[in-house]
Amino acid sequence: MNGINTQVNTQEAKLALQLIEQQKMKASNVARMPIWLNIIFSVLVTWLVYFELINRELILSDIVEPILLLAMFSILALWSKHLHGKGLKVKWFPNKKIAYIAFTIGFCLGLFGDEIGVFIYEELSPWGSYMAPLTTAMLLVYFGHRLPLSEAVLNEKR
Amino acid sequence: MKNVNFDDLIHAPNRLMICAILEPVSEMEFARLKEQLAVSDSVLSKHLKALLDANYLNLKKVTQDGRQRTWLSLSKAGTDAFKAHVRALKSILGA
Repeated sequence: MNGINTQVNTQEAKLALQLIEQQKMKASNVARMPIWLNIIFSVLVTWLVYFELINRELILSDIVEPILLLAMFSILALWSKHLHGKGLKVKWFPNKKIAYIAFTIGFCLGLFGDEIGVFIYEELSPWGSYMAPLTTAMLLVYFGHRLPLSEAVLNEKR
Repeated sequence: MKNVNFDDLIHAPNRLMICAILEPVSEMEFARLKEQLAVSDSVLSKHLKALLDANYLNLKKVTQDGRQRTWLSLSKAGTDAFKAHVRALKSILGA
């Protein structure tokens, strides 16, 4: 392979990768939840995990837990139906590294939730009690907005 | 070791874009794909046929609301070929 060919191939490869990224971004823009819905969903998840499952002192009533779960699944189902109407079906568990990492974190939280809860609410008290849920909600909003199609917009150019 | 294979069939710009759009999603409708690519029906059909002939695509026709809708997705072979092609492109760049 001579120098000119290498140059052309390098440029071509660069353009092709940019093209791929642009198209993934386009698909992501269609799949992405509007920010207000993303915030509502993230608040529901955070509320369920921190105030219904970990710190049960703040639990409102026994009926709230299933209502929160129902609301979360309803949002996902309605959004999925909305996307279906727009001609798109998303992967709810993409075969990507980030999906497995998220699943592992969720699984560990399920197993060690009590210990983590005690650490957050006793060791990091008093600020941890408020900062941890707030940080979680912010991270959920960020990742939900940033990675709607899982790794699709990791290299998003602004 | 992961497969690195430059695929001439996928490398054509329109087919590369089709694979890039379909890879992260489960399925996409023909009309949505056409809109995303901003190409005509005939151009899209031509490229889809090339990918279908190589078994890179799955095609499903569904009657919905009284009209037929065509749903497309990348097959296992298509996904593997696309990923191998992306790795080949990255290896050219030395990434």
